[in-house]
Amino acid sequence: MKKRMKCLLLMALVSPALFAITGLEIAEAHDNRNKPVSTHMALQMDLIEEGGKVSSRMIEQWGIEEGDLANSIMVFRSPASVKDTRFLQVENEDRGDDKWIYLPAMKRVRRIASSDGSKSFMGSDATYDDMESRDIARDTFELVKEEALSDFDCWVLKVQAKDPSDSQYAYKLVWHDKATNYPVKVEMYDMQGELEKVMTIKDLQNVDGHWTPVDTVIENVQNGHSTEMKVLNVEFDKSVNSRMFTTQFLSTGR
Amino acid sequence: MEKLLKKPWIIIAVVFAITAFMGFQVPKVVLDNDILAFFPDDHDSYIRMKALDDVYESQIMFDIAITEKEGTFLNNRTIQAIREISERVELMQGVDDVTSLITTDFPDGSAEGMVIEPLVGDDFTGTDEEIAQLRTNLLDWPDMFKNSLYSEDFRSTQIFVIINKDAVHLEKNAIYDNIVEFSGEYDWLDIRVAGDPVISHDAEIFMIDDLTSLIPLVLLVLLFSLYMSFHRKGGTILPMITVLITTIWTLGIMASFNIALSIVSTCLPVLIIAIGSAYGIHVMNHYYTDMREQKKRVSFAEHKELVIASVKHVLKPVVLAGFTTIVGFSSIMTSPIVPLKTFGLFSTVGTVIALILSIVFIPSLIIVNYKDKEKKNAGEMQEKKMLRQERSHKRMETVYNKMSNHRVGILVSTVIIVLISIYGLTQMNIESALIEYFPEDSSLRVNADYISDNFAGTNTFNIVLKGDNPGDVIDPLVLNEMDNLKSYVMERNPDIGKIMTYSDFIKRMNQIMNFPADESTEDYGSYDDMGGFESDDSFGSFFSDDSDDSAGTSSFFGDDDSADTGSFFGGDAFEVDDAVVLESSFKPLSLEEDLTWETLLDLTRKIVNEKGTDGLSVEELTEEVEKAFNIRGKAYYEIPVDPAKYMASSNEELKNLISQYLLLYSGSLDKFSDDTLEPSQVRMLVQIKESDTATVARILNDVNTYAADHFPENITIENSGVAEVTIALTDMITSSQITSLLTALLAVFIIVSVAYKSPIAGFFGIIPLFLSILINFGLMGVTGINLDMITSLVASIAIGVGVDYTIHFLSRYKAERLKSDDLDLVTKNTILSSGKGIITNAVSVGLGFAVLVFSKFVVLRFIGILVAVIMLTSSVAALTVLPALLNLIKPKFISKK
Repeated sequence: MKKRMKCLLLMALVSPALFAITGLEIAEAHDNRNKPVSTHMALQMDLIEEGGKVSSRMIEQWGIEEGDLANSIMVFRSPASVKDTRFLQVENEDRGDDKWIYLPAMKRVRRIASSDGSKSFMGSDATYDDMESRDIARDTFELVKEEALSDFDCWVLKVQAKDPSDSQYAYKLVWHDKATNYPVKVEMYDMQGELEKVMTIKDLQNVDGHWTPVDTVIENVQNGHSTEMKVLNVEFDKSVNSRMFTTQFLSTGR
Repeated sequence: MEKLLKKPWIIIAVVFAITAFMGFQVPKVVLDNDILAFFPDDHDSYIRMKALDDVYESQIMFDIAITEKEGTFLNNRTIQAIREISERVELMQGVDDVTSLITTDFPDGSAEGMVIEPLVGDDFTGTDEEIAQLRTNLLDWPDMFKNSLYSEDFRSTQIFVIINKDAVHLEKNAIYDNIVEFSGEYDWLDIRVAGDPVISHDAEIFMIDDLTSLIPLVLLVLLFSLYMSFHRKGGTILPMITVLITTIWTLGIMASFNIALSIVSTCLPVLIIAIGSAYGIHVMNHYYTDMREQKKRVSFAEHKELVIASVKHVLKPVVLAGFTTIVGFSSIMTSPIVPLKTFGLFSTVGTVIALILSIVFIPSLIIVNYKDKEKKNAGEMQEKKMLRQERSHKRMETVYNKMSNHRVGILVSTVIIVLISIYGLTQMNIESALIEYFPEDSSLRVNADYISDNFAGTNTFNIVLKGDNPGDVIDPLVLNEMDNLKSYVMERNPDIGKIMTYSDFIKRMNQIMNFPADESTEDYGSYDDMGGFESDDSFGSFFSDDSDDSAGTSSFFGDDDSADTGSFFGGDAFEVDDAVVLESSFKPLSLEEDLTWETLLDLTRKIVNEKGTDGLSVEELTEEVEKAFNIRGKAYYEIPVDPAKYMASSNEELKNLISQYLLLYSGSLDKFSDDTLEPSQVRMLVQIKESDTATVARILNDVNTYAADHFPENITIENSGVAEVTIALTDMITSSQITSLLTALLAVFIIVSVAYKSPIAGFFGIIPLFLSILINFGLMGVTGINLDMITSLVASIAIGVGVDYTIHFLSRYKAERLKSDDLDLVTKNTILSSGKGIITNAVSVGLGFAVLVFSKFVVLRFIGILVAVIMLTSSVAALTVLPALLNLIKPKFISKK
């Protein structure tokens, strides 16, 4: 009953049925896609300054999904100064993610606790929150228009947190590719309502049945800084030992 | 000229049309007192400051100081008010960022790792525990929070509002007005706002006040002096209308060319009115004299001819006087400082306009104003005039007689005055801080002083460390020197309220990552409940150096891959730390085992021995004890430089440690470095309690001295920011004062030399000016009036106006000298004939400028007094020293036919 009420409420909120599909349905379709049980990626993260100066870092990442909860471990491979820095993120059902980091120069594992997810993730233009997959129950989705991007024909959703303090953005505009339901472009608007960042997927590939953004750019239009994430290699659904997602493994590497 | 005056109505119509047009422009005039707008765009300091805006954040900010009227700000009502204010301000147009108790994070350590939480969380309700925790947290990182987010008595806190670098001054004013407006809603708080935009804002209000009150006042003074010299309606009104029109045109031209009016140009109308009237006076004077000589009634046509003839006659001396004045004013244009350049240009423009109007517009008005009755009371007038002339003649004679008895006395006292002035000159203070232009009891100064007394001060600059290569600046040895530089400069300069540095963050990071480990630390996941690792390749890594078998299952990278681990990247999937676990050279005392009276006493004794009892505070003692026990990681609030303590094999490894901190803490440091991981530059923010440039100069000198001795060659130090820009401005004021002074004196020298065909005459021409300028500077030094942008104008004004007296005197003297060889008689006649004109002009210009003592700006009061004094000294010097020297030296040029 409650659920029905919610649906009705949502339908009332959404503009009259201009479209055959609702924003929420699009978001749900994406959320319910067939997700890999495990991932293994080689990533190149390029930090690009306004003047065009690029600094690259190589990251290797493993992830598993256990009953809707994702665990992942990242290992920095280069540059040499941060080589072997490892970052473990464990999703929890009832509270925020647990995060640990291993700094090789300290030879210690430290837990990172922060309620503020709006901080830059490892120097990139993405924040910790941006990196997290957000429960769709936290947002409202309004289908505002249809628009064709160069490579994709899209639905454009306006996504807003139900509780304004639950997001670092006032709202986001999300372009969902009609063919795959995959969000291929996101515009993020700051609390003053001004465009802050634009995330664009430059290359979306189907790898072993999973749509994978292999080249993603996040640009902060307010300061001109941008981050490009390229997937150099990817494996899905290979067996990954869950022992990798422990702090013991983080500190010893075995 | 003649042709022009033939059609006076046309001239009048054109002048009124232009005046009407310009009158509509005037309200559009822009006011701008942004110190950066004073700089030429290519000035080093200007470029450095702009670069700072680009790399870090805008250097323009408001500083809102919030003081609890009773008790401390640590209560829920005030904290919620601060939240509300922060949120309101953040949404205002032109605001980039707000830093307050609410927006600030508190990076803390725990047994397990690091915790970054806001100082005041969203769910803060002000329970006793929350308040106590907030207080503890604030006190835990004094380098960051003390005198910034809390005053030592906890009565006040601050909100910093960073303004977008491209925000126009209307936006800044709107922000300020907004803040002031809503601050009334919090009646239990005193809310004070300071910062450079407030200076500009208040300067504008003062300027408008000044312009609207001083212009009528100086017109009144002019009215008075015109009436005193003419005793006639026309003679009073016509020169007055002329200068009024001149003022409107000048301001209108500035407005239509979008040239901003600064504090300096506030005295422009006063200058134009006081000085520009002289030409009109001259023209009127001559006209009245010519009219008096007419024995019969004149018709309109005759009157017109008479006026034209009169103007023709007066043209040459008036243009010459105007020309020398223009030379004096335009010498100000040699200054690189924009407001001075503007002032030089528009005082020149104003003089030219006044000159043209005086010889074209005034005669036109006289012509059309022809009245048949004009000659009616001529006889009576003549009588009155004669009577007045006789009286003033007598006065001059008395003065002369008194002076002539003291000829030696004049020269001796001149020498004494010169000596005192030279002493005064050495005492002169050069100042360019805009805030010093305001009276000490202005709310601006009162608020800034309050903030300096309770916090770190509002006068700031940055020390930027730049490395040759990215990452050079995060070498621990460099960061440590950065930290030492801070202590060194702070120790030597008690006027520094606070220095926040990049290294403070690294120290904090190092501290919280080295919190003492708690034995009960819970690990996430344990091997015990997960079954063993069967084989390494079960989680195959993509990267490996080993290329034994490229056919390996998880290989993506051809021969670079490894069948073994399948890692994407070179090396093992993970660096396995097989190495022997090193031990740190630092062993903190243990609270469990070492906490005995004996250890404590030993420890305190050791601390006292090391630090000395002199000035060792309880705070410091506690700090040292905490360090010994490594309580809350305090032994690690430092830049990691000792490899043994950090179990590192080399400095390079410690540098990696810092890189790894940065990777973790990235994003929180972008206000202090240009890159999160491998910065090419990092900065220190210096906050100073005093606004005067001498204090800042001393600090900059200390910074440069220390930097030269302590930083490696690949690191360069740059100082930039508002305080540094002010210093640069001071240097520019000095050099531009010297340049414009020399230019003007040289020009006067050349003009007088050419006029008398003798360089000796040139020297005589500049002597009275030189003397009066020297006395001016001496007076400034002795009375403590600063040389600044505005007072630096006095010398040029003195030359522009004073040179007329010299030329006037020399030409009369020469004329008299040709008539007689009796020097006493020559001198007497010269003084009697030219003295009145010179003194009248000096008094009217002096009085005109004297109205500036009613200005809201201290500095304008000073220039009012100084110009009044210099008018007196230059006219007196022309009338006393000049004849004394001429009679003593007897130069040839003066007796040559």
